[in-house]
Amino acid sequence: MEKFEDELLERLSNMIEVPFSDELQHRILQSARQQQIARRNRRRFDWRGLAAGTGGVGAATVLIWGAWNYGSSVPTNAALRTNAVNENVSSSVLGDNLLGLQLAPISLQYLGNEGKDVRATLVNIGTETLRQQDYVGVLSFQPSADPNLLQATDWIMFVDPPKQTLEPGDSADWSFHPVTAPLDEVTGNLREKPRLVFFKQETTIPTKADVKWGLAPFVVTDQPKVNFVQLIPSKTGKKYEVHETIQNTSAHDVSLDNCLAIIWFSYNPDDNWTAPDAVRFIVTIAEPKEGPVIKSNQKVSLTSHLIAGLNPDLTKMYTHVEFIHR
Amino acid sequence: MRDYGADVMNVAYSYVRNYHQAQDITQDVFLRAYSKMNSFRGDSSVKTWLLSITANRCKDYLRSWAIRNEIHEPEQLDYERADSNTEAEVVTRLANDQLWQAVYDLPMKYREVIILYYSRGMTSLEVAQTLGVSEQSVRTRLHRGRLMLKERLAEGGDNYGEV
Repeated sequence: MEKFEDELLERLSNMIEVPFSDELQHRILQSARQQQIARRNRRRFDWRGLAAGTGGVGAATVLIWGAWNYGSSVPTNAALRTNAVNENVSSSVLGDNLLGLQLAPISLQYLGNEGKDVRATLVNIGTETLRQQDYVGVLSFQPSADPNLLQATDWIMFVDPPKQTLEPGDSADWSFHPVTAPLDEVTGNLREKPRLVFFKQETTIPTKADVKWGLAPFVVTDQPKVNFVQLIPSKTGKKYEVHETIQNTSAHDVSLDNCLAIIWFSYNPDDNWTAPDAVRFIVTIAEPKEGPVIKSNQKVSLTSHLIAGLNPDLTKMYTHVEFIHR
Repeated sequence: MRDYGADVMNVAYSYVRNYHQAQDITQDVFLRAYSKMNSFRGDSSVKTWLLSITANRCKDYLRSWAIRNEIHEPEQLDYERADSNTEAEVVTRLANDQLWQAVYDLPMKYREVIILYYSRGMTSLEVAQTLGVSEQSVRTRLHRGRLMLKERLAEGGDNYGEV
C-alpha cells in the first residue's frame, strides 16, 4: 500500500495541470475593478436614492418586436460558440476573419423563465452610463444542461436591452417573450434554460475582444432579398423570408450545421449589425436542397424565416447577411 | 492570484469537470476573496482559505437546481473545449488519463481529499481546514479513497493493482 501511495503521490502531483490563463487572470482583475467601482457608485446612489425617496431599481419591459426567430428550431447538435472560436475550425479556414465582441459591464442578478417569458434583472457594474443603444443582448436556450453561457443552443436571438438608461450601479428588470422558443408540450411554458449575455454595441479587434466569433468563409453573391409573408396569428408581428445565394470561398468544405447566419436590416447600406437602429437576427441555417455541406467554390441558395415586429417594415430597409462559425 | 490561480482552477476543475465552469468558479472565488479580504483572519494560509471558498462554491454549484434537474452530457460538445489549443489539449489529456478518471469517479468526499492531498500537496491538517472537517476524517477518507482507487485501477488493468 505504501508503494501505491508513493506512486499515487508521484503521479498525481506531476499530473498535467489545467492552465490558469493570463486571459482568465485579466478577466478577474477587470471584474474586480468593476465590482469595486460599482460598489462605490452603488453606495453613492443608495444615499441619493434615500434622499430622494426613490429606489434604485427601475423597471423596463422589452417588447417582443424585432427579435424573434422563426425556424430556428432547425437545430443541429453542434454547439454555438460565443466565448471562444470553435477549435474544429482550422486556422487556415478562419484566417484573420474573427469578429471581436466585448462584454458589456452587465451583471445578471436574476435570470429565469416565467411561463412563456424570460425575465432578468440587470445591473450596470461598469463605470459609465449605459443607454439602450450602447449594448445588445444575445438570448439563447439550450436543450440540455450546461453551466456555461451560450455555447450550445437550439434557439438563439439578438435581444434589445432595457429601454431605460442605467447609471453605474443601477439595475433594471427585463423581460422577453420568445415566441418561437422550444416549449414544454404539457405546460406550454418555456422548457429550456435561458442564457443571456450582453455585448457592447461596437465590435472590436480580436486582440481586445472578450469573445471572438469566427466568420464563415461565405460570400453573398447577390443582394439578399426579403419578402413579407404574413402576419403572425396574434397580429403583433410579421413573418418574413430572406433569400440569398452564397458561395464558399475557402478551399474547404464547410457544413452549414456548424454555422449561424447574422441577418440585419438597416437604413444605411453601410451599417453593420451593431448599428443602433439595425434590426438584427441570429439564426440557424435551414438546409438547402444541395445538403448541409457546401463544397469549396460551390454556390447555394438559402432561405431564412424571420418574425419581426409590425414596424419597421423590413422590406424598406437594406438587407445584410453574414455567417459565423458555431 | 498568480500564486494560487492554478490551485483554484485545478481544484474547481476536479469538482465540476468542465473547463469553462471551472474558469467561472475560479473567477467567482477570487472576486469573493477580494471582496472579503478584510474578513480573512489569517487562521489558515491564504491557499487554504482560497481552496475552502473554491470547494464551497463548487459544492453550491453541484447542488444547484440546474445541475440537479437537467441531464448532463459528459464532456459536452464544444462546452468542454477550452479557449486555446493548449488548454484543449490539457483537457483532452486529462480525460484520457486512466488514473485521473479513476479519481474523478470516486465519490466526492473521497475525491476531494485525494485531490487536495496528493495533487495540491496539502497536509491532512490543511485539507481538514479547507473542507471544514476533522483531520481524523481526512485521514480516514484518504485511506478509503486510496483503497477504492486501487481496486478501480486493478479492475481497469492498471498495474497499480499489482503493487
